[in-house]
Amino acid sequence: MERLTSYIFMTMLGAICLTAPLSATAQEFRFNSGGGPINLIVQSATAGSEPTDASDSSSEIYWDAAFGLPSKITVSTISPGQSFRLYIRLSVPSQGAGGQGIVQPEVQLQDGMLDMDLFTDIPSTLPGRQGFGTLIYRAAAAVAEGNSNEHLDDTHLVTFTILAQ
Amino acid sequence: MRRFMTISGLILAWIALFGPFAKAQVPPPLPGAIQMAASSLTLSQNVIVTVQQINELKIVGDVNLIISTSTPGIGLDSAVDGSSATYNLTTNDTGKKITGSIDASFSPGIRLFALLGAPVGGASSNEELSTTAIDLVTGIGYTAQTGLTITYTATAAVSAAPNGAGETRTVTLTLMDN
Repeated sequence: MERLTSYIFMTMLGAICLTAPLSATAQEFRFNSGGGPINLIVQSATAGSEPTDASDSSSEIYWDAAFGLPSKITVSTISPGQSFRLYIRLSVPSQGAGGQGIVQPEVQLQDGMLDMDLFTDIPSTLPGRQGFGTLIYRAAAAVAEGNSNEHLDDTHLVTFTILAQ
Repeated sequence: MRRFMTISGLILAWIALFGPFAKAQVPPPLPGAIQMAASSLTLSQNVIVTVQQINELKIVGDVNLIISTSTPGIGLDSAVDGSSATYNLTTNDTGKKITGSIDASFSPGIRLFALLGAPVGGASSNEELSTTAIDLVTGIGYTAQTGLTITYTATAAVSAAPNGAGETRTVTLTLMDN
């Protein structure tokens, strides 16, 4: 019995030794839901008006900004030969007093753009450094911008980056 | 055994707090080397934007044309209405036209003409409507306009018989490829 107790004691202590250092670096940035390819289709209009925008809010991202400094999330895109307009914003649910960052206005995604701020001032400490938000895409095409039969579809590789601010 | 447990516990507690006694030799990072803790993390997503060909046409308003006067020696005066009806048009395509037709002919001697206000870049002409579609506007390109005019003109020959309360016809405008 004494031997068993000793074994359990040492095993638990060993486990603490192994796991304690790992839990200190918890940087994380991933899709909570969605994340796969999205196809936005502009397909309707009221006669006399510009086409109705298409939107998508099926993707949610999660972050743990353990950078030791306030952090931010930026966005950029690569879309060679882009013909139509694409916008994005991040919708972050309110999570109590103090908040957990500042939502930035909708960003227009243009081929070759520099990284633009999507969400800033993420706290460096818990609980504020962790959060999640919904990516809301909006595609727009005025009649003067034509259609995909003329220009082909726009294909974007949208990249989100979380980094110290 | 109890002494062994105590010593082992102390050793493990030391490791937990301060790390192993003999640490591995870690060389200093080279200039510009990537650090173990990420300075940024990224996610990527593919987004495709498709814009379909969109063509929408809508007529607004009905028209009642009454031929009730004449000019002596000339004939019956035409009835003209250029304000009761308009049309709204949206197309994100080029090379389009609008044709017009009516669902049935009028009585002999009665004729109906239509002149559509052309959107920017288009061309229109005053044409007689019949059951066979005829071009009213051609050369339509990218357009999103409301309130484009439709001017109807009704004429009647003196030989046309009075038709009482009138004859109702449905005008159909069609947006199509040139």
